[in-house]
Amino acid sequence: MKKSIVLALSLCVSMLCAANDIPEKLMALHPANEKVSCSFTEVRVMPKVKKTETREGTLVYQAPNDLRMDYTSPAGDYILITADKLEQCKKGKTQSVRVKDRDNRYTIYRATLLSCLAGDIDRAAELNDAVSECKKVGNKYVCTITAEVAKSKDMKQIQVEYDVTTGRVLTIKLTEGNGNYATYTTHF
Amino acid sequence: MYTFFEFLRKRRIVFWGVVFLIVVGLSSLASRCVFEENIFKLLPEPEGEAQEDFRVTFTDLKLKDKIFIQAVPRTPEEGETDYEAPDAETLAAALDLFMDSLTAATEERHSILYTLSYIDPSMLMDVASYAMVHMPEYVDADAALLDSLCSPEHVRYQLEQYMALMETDMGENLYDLMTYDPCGIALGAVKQKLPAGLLDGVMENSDRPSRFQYGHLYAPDAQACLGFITPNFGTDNSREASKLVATMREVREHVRATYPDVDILMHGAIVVAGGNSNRMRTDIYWTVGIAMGIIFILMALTLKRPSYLMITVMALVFGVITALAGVYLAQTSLSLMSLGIGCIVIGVAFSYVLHVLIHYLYTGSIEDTLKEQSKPVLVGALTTIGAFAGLLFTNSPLLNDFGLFALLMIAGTTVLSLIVAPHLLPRRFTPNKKAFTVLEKMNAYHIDRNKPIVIITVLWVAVCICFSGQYKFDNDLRHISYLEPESVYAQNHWNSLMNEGFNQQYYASVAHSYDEALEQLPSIEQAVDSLRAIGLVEKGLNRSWLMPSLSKQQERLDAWQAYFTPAKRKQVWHTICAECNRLSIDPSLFDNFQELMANPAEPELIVETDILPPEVLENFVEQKSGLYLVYFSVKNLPENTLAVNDCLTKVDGCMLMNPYYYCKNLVELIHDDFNLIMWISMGFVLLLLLITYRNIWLTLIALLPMLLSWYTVLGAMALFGQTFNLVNIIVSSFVFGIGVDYSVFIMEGLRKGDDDNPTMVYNKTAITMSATILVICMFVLGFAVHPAVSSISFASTVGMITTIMLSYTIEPILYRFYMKVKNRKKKVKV
Repeated sequence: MKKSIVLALSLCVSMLCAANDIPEKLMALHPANEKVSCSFTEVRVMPKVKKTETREGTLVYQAPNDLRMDYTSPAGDYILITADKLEQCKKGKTQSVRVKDRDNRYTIYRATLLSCLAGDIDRAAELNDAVSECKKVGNKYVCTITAEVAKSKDMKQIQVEYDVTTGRVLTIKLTEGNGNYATYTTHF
Repeated sequence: MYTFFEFLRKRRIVFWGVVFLIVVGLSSLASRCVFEENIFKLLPEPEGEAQEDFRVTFTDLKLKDKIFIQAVPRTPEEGETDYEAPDAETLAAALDLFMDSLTAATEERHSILYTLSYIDPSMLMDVASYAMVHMPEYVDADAALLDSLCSPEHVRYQLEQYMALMETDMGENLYDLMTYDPCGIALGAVKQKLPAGLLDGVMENSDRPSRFQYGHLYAPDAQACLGFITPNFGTDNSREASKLVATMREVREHVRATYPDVDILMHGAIVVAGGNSNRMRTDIYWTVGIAMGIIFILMALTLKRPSYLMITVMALVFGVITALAGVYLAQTSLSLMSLGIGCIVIGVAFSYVLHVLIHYLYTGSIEDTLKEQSKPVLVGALTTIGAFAGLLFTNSPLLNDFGLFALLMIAGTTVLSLIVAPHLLPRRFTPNKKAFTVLEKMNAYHIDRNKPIVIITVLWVAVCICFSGQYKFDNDLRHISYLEPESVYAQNHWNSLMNEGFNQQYYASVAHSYDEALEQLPSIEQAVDSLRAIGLVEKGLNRSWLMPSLSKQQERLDAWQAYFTPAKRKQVWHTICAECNRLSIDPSLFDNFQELMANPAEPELIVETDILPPEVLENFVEQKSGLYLVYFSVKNLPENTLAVNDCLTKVDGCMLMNPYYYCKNLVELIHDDFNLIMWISMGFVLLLLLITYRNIWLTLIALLPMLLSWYTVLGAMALFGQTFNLVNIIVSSFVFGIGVDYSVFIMEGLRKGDDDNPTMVYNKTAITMSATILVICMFVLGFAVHPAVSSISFASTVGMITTIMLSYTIEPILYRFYMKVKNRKKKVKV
């Protein structure tokens, strides 16, 4: 019995240790000059108005600061992230946010996306004044970042799934304080 | 004076030591004198509360000093077929490059307080959210209207509108705002109050290019990307303005190189001030430089020896450093404009050293020179100083500056001419006989005995005196301010894009607290509305609706709470839930509205929160020296501007943010003030001459050229369609000073006996040289581009020539007549 208890405790400790290692492992899987390109699907849900919008496109990510997401459906829309700005074109209207100005929800959104793609969970949590939790589920690492306090348009929860072997981002789910959420699923 | 000369000559080492120390001390003080350019320094100093308000408003406020920047497609060159206008994004990028480069370039000097070209989209959303949270304080909704808005039919309509908006690009942004307003209470009010088109692209889905995209503000149809710069200094700091404008031009070249299809236009009070200052400096350098060049050539040709030229230059330099040192001790700074005008005084001061020098050249005796020239030079200098001292009694800082500079300059030059210069005179002198021969031949011709010339002179003076009452005085200071063509182009471009051909003017509600200023704003806006009703005003933004006073907010809040009783809240919420269920919307979406009905936020002034960053806030309100200003703008047809200004400035607490409007009355006051000063100066000169000559007739004869020349100038201005302005009328006063000098020297010659006595010959030679130099100085000013400088030329040249003619003709004739009468009386007595 004693042996079983010791074994069980050892397993628990090793699992906890393994879980705490995940951020480091993820960082190790993402080289500083990483370049990724793939197609993706975005599903945006507004539960209170029962509205779901699905968009598709391709993304190109070049660490550390460049991301371009071109939507093929609806065509023409895009999100462009560079070292100094976040630019979003939706239904022909373009909005641009400069990074160098004071922090706002757009610049935090930009930095959060880049951190998630780079596997930097701790940075993503810090940006959103949140706590992170990572666990291994099957062949995926599932990291959940939860903000203690979140205003309506701020990130309330960020959930990112990574491939255990390659570290590639499989899904990113961004949930706002108002309950709306967007899920980005990559297709390699 | 000669005894004093001998006294100093015997103590040469001590004397030169003292001179050296004085020169070093004065130079040190003069080098610390700060030059500034502010056309409003022409205006009187504050007197009373209203004047104080005015002064604070127009010297310290940021709004009037704002620089407007436009990034526009450059004008294609003729025959350029492949030109493609840059898109909105390129214009924004070019503007960003301009602003960033300018900020970096001026970082060390701290000459820029804020730049505003990029507007943070989240700031806009924060403001909108703030407005929704404070909706009860911003909405004038009576019970009947609220009943209608909260009815099931309207709530259903509103929810359907929201669902349709969710399909647009702005749907997500509106999502949070709509949670506060399922009944459409606020959004309807917002659209009703704001000018049409202002929310294009922000709140609505429009096909027109948005006025707000890429985080930047655009003119309609994205014809220009707009930016604003708030300098860290006022228009009175011409040096900084000039530097900033120069840096802006350098940065613009950099932007043009990076974005060849984009041009940067800039205008505003600081750009005008910088351009004014640059123009003034350039004009002064060129006109004074050319005049000095000609003068030195003339001097070199006539005086021959370099040492004479050196003495002349030294006297003038000493005069200038004395003046600058005195100005520094008295008030630290000197207006650049008064320095420019003061340069003419160099010509006046020149005559004193010339008289000493020429007398010495003729006599070769320092003793004779000092004995014969000390009195006329001192009397001439004192009368001129008296004439300029009158300016010290005005309330205008610029007139004070000019008066102080001029009298100190003359005092310094006179002191050096009579005390130091004699010690520098060479033992041997070799005058250019030919040059003096020419002058002597000219002067030997007795113009006063040539009847046609005398008649023409008298006629000219008589005709001018007849017209002297018809001269025009231009009280608009804008006409003596230099506007660079590119600044005018930028301003016109802005007006055509932003103001649709109307004249846009800013006003302020001024009070001793923001709340007080906001409280009086509705009564001012009522006046605007009444002007709009009779067609004088085209557009005016209702600022009191955007920024209600605390009492107004409380009044609205009371009405809100009176309407939303617990029973009413329950009824309205029931309606909302029912309509939400009908449209498959979760009613909890509108929890914010439920909270708003029950517990609305307390009243507060948005200007006292940190919702708006300072670079945005300063466009709406400003606080300075205990005064609080709330700005608003009005657009009207240019021909109605004066009438609108006259009406609105009569409303309590309303101030027009255009200093020139207030200047007109003040300029008139200075003009009246100036006339009085002229008479006081004349009285002073009369008294001094009376003390000197102890004879009323001689005094009047000496005074006549000065008196007549002034009225001749007034008449000549009317005859030739020239207008007086605040600058040239002041400068004309120096004609008084020099007129007295010439009269005094001619009188000195006349009193010595016959027409060709040596003193008369020496004095006429000096007067001719001095007059030639002065006329050159003044004539050259006519070539200046700056209107304030060039406007001086006509009046002063006419004044000078008239003074010489009168001194050479009327004065000797009257003197002879006086002597004839006097001698006849003597004979009769005998």
